[in-house]
Amino acid sequence: MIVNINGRDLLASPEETLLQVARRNGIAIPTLCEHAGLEPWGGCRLCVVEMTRGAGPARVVPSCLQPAEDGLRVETHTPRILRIRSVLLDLLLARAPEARRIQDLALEHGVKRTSFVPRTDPDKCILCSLCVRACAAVGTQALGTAGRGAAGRISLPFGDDASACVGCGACALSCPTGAIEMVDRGSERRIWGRTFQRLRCPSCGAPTLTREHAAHLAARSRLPPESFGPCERCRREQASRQFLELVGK
Amino acid sequence: MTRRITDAAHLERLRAELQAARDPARKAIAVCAGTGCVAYGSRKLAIAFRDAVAARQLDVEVRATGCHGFCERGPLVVVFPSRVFYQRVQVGDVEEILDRTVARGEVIDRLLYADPTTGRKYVHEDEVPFYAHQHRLILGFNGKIDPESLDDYIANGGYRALARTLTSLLPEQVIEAVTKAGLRGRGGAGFPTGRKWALCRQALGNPKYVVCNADEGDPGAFMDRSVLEGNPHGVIEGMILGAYAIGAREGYVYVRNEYPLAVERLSLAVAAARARGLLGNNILGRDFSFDIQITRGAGAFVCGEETALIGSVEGNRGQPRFRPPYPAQSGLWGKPTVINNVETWVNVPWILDRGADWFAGIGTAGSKGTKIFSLVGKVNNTGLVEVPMGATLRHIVFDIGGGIRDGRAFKAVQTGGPSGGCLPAEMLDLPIDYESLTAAGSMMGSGGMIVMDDRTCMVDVARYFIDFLLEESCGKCVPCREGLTQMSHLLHAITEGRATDETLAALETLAPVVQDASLCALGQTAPNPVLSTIRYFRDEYLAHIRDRRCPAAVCKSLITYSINDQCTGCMVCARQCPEHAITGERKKLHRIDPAKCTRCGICLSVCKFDAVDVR
Repeated sequence: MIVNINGRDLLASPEETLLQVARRNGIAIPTLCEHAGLEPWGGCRLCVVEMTRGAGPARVVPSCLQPAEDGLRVETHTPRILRIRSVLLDLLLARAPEARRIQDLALEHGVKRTSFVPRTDPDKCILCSLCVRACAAVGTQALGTAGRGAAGRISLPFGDDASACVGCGACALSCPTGAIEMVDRGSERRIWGRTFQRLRCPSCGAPTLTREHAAHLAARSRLPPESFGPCERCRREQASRQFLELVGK
Repeated sequence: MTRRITDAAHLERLRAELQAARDPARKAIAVCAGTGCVAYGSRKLAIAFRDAVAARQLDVEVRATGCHGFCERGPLVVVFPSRVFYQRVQVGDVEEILDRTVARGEVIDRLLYADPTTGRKYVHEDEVPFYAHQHRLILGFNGKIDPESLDDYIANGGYRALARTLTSLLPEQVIEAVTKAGLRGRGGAGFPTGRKWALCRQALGNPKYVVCNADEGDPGAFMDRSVLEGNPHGVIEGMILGAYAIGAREGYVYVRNEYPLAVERLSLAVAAARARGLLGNNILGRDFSFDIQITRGAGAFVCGEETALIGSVEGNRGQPRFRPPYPAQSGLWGKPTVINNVETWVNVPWILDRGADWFAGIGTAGSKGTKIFSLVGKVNNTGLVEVPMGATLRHIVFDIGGGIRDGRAFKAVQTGGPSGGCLPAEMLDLPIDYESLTAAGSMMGSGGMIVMDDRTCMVDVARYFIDFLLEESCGKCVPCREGLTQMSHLLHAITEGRATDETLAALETLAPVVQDASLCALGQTAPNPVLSTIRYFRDEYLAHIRDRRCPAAVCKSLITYSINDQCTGCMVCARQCPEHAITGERKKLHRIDPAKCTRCGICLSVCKFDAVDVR
């Protein structure tokens, strides 16, 4: 099937979203709450596009969630869409003025500083829930959203119960605004108020996963915890050596 | 008593027996047991009637019925067979009613309804203008039956539509009838019910579900509550018919826990229907099984949005998600699901009982049937009003509502709940249907209708609703969460006298973005109260911004209280002022210290001499 984006007829499959079709064809659409490894969420709304079906009116839809359909006409950078994006970034800048990613995106959309009332307690967190979704995907579900609406916040159960956290760092790594603090020092990792010990790679000695993360992965995969021992680099080296031996024979 | 009804013929035999046992000439007293009347003490009143009837060994039936709709005048009592209508009845009136009206057929003048404008009194319920101008299809049933009695529902024709449908119609024919009747969702968006059902029936996936959305959350709206409390079997029968049409075996009613009486009566009705074989396996002896579970919601406004509701039933956060997929394709637990509102469900038995053509004969070209509105605010007669689609706002506010309270002037009416728009006097002749209201910048919503008089500040109204919606926003998407936060800041700046022309411009830039970019209907419609008041009452915004003046004298930061020379020096205001801001000697002109005054308005309300001015 064919989807027309910005005047170009593009091949698409019904499993794809408009965002996927666009990106595959080099059309850039900004996003904040999207991650290729996680289910789309549709919260930041930066990825909105104008979509026309047949003779119907142009509708504003989030491209991260809208499935591709044959014959759709899509515009990703109309004045209406650009205005929506700049107002959304203006709003986010009022909430999270210190977040680098928001500053950069806002500047790209012509917003230098917010025209709205800045929050009295600036928060780098924009409640995109990537951390919560990443944590759920890891299988720990140590994080959730507490409260509602503007008073919502990312939280451990009861605010301070980090017992389900394995210190994997998926939340901090997926956060687009650097709102989650994770400090690695030597073989120690501090996150969510807890200190974790990281295992060391048996071949090079570099710190790798936390003990709890390895145990969690072992329990989920039913593999021995040692299988998660070597660091990324050593594992790759091992694999290439094995490959070389195989080819050499 | 609780024998299973084996088949359609059995149901008809039972109905005939029940009707034969009822003597239409029998003396009866119907006491309204809707929430409003219960709050006024109608439960005690019904007990008092029962005790007095028992003590005198009279052959008089005392019936507690569903809500009659005229809640403002409760507790309401109707005496049968004469149908004399009494309002604001107290326990102390019981003996007199039995002595005079029931025994001797006299009318007690004191308890009759008197029109607040003309003073004219009315004896019978159907003569009272509030009722006479309505078309009480759904609500009429409420006053007739005891909501806690399945027999009462059956005797009044209940489950007849179900019996006929199960024995003579294919599921596709049910969908065809609902489509032909032109029924549209009463929950707000007005999606054609028949089309929704057809989509769900065709959708792949098993099992399928039906859901009743009883998460009524609009401030001041209580029509779904009244239907659930007054006619729970009507909703159940509608759901069974819907389940048969789409091929579902399970249904859920999502009802807010703040409606204890609705939960109680619905639970009773579900249990009664189950005991008689109207719910459960092989309903009326047919190869069709269906049962209903009740899920109680915790009261989040956003859970009335269908995808948030589904999430809440599943035990997740009540947060909407993007559609498609629509619930009809992938709803509860990812299965095809039909979600309809209480009022939509209760219309279904009527369509199948009286026929699609009959139903389509009521209303306008695009909007069929009747609609219940919750008429509240500054009208003389507040309560639940049911009119055919296409009735005008003027008809509802003036003919039924009896005009504006205290002889004040009409200013605006807000339709459709907190995210509806405010329509001015020029729009009073607008025929109410889904399209006309949307075109006017408001919406049908679930049927809230708030009437405002000339003492209402439209900017303050907009601020109030935006604050409400901000509080109720789930926070998932940026335009709703952050956009409403900023709209609230802007509106507060206007009502507090800190605004400039740019404030208004910022509102007008932000509002369309919130409409366009929000995830669900809550955010998409939230700017309505702001945009409609800017559209119809721009002068009032400008008065706040440029003149630092609130024309309706509501916004506290922009008004001052003063005492004029009508003051007799009675000292009442000075004694009542909580801030001791009023000084003056007895029999001499008093004075308000503007520095101390907090503009609470107590002096204005206690002054008997019109000596307090607000500007």
